[in-house]
Amino acid sequence: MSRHHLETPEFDEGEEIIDESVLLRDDVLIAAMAKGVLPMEYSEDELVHDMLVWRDEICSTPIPENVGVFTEAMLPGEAKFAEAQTQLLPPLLDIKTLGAAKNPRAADVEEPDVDVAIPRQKGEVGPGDAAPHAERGPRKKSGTKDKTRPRTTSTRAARSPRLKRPLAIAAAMVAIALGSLGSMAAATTAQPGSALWPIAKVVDKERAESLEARESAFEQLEDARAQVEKNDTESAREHLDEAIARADSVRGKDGKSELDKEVKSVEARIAAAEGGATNPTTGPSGSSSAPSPTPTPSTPTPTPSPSDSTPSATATPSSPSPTKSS
Amino acid sequence: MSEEDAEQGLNGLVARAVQGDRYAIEDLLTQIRPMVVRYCRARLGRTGGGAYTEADDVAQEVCVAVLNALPRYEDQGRPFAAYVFGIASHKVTDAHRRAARDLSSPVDEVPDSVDTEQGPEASAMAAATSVQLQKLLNVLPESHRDVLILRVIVGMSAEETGQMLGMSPGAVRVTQHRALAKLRQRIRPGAEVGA
Repeated sequence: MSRHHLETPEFDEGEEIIDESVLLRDDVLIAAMAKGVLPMEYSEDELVHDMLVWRDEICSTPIPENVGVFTEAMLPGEAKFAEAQTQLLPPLLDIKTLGAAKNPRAADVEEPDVDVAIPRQKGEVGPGDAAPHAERGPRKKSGTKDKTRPRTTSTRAARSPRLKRPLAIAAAMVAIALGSLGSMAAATTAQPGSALWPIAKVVDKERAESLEARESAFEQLEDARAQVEKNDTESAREHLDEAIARADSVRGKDGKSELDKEVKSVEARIAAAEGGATNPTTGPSGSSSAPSPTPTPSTPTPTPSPSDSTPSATATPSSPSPTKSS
Repeated sequence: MSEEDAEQGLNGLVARAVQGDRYAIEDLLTQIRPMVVRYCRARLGRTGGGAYTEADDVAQEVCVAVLNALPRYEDQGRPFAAYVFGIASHKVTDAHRRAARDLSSPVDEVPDSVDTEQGPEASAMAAATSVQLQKLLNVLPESHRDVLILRVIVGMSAEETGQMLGMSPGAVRVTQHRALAKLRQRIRPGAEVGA
């Protein structure tokens, strides 16, 4: 069955008689174009050139990877096959729990009207119909016929037309739920200031409060340091006290220990500044302990990032931005 | 011949896929997808930003529909590809309908005026050529257009194309000849047809 073999043309739609050689020539041309080849004798032919460009663009543009064909969007169909697989194959998908769907073979046996494929499609794949077969359900009446099916009653129930659309809807809901599970997971690890933070606040209120307290405690410590730098130990103390108060509501797993360390270091710095006070505006407490006026004991980082925080807050140590949120 | 072998292989795959063999289903869809994508791109052309985004989306829809319809597929002696293209054809029609409001999408009418934005040099550019041809194709009768697409873009033989469209191979050859002649007339009005 050669591609170029010319059969007797049927002039079923033609008025004029077309010369066979003309038909053959076009057939050869088309076969060449289908391979992306420009036959020599057509090198000046504008149409052939255009068609080749057109073909080349279509065929050379890479087909997008749609992460395989088995995506959530296909759950309804997948559910159907999942049930068939329970009979024929070890299950490869968990989604089968969704679908006590029909055995395709049984359906075919009982479908007398399966006809030429194309006309049948007209009704089946309508626009926006996620489960086009839903309306065609009642065709198979006897689920009992199938010898491989032990769960007659349940499968029959699932095959009834009324339950089919709910099945599709359920599958869609599962797809949505799977999607939102991902966002939930992301939200549970979100840090203050991130886009998912408002969700995180709802998802885990305790954690959110703890993280926010930690944020503002660090801010207060930051302010305290700044005040120490300006030798204003008094307001530095205020900030420190505020920070300590906030730190109370920070959970241990949210970097409490680091916060405490930070508190101690700032405290030491204030004490040192107070000790060697040189600033006349602040009332020095008189006692003299540390001679150095501007010591930098530890933690030179201005925005301490909680690196020892919880496992849930693993990612984005960079994100905690000092936004006053509490 | 290799094409027949491919069709045989496809049919074997279809038989197993209909039974619910997951691996067969995957193989089947992997095999038909490039054909479906080509067909949809040829029918819908570039849209919006000049990419085949919409066409590829429709192609994916077609694959989903095929997957959903598989359990009810019954071998009627027609190639499975014909079944797939039946679905694809309808999905494309739906897409055209949906895109009727979108001015950037191909419509069934050729614009009356000459495109003044592109001079001869610019129109020589590949993209413009392709768009122009796309417009021309949309003026052709449906059967002419489908024959050209199936043969040139999808790469089917006249026999296979005939099976797809319910024509004899001879009718396919007549149709493709007429389609080419019409396109020649349109692309170069006054040119000698079929010479």
